[in-house]
Amino acid sequence: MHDSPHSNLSAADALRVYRRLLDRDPLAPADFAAAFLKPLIAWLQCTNPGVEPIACEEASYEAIVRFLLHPTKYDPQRLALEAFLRMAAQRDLQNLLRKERRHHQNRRDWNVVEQASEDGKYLRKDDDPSLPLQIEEARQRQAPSDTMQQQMTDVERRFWEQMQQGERRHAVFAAILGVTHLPIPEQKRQVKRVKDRLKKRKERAGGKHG
Amino acid sequence: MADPLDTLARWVENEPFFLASTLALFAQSEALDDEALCRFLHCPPESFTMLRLCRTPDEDPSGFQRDMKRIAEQFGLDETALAAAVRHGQALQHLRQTTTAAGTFLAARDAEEEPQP
Repeated sequence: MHDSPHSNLSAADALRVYRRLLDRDPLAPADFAAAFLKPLIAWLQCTNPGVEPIACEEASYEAIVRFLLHPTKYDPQRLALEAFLRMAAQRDLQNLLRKERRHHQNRRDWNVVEQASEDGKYLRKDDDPSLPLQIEEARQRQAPSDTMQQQMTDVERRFWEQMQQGERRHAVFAAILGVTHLPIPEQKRQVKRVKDRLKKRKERAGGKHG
Repeated sequence: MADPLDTLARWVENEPFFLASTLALFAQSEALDDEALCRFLHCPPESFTMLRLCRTPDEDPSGFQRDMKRIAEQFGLDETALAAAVRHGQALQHLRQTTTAAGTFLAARDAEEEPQP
């Protein structure tokens, strides 16, 4: 996508299209979409370089359609139209990514179940007397220690949870850090810095990160 | 890469707010593909995407006439053909809504008639 992330419409023209939407002009939705859809997709892809382009497109469709269906939710006194659309599309993208993560997480959970059935479902593994101990060890391996908990900021805690869930996409961590607007190398550098910091703290607290 | 506007026009085919929805129902009932629908409406193919992204005309007669005229003039369509297609599509939409509602009532009645344990 090589479109400009800015609409060709001036703020006054954008407002004019918006007023036509409110006046139920039948051509207004088409004109609105023609003016804002492509720049919105371009902007979203630009600010979320690690995210699948198709996800940015979907989020933009969602944002544009919702705006067209409920134009009165926008207050021109508070925000420029393009800024409002960007905010809505970014939120839609986050929701989309969250849904996708949940979907992957569920699939991973099912894999674990399938694996378990092959490995020992019929071996009465739950009768193993060391099972409670194994569970506690696994829990301790994953949970940050009390000291570590106290040192963690909210962002670090979300970061840590994602690491424990096996998340590897830097875009997810960059979104948590709120640095998706930066160039990718810089995003990666910042993500790595936080990961290293957390791993070091975990080691100091008495356990290697797995 | 597909034109995002065209993808959006397909995306909203189930949303009655957009002309894409009524036109899709009409085309489906008449077994018309996009090309045939354009021929029926006298719509230049390059305007087809924008046409589908228009708002479905108001159903009250005066609003309907006004909106039809505006859309037909904008894209150089045959106004009579467009009005026929939209009325047909709207009728199908109502039928679909009524059928869905009736289905819900029937399901509720069925549930009532189930023998109590």
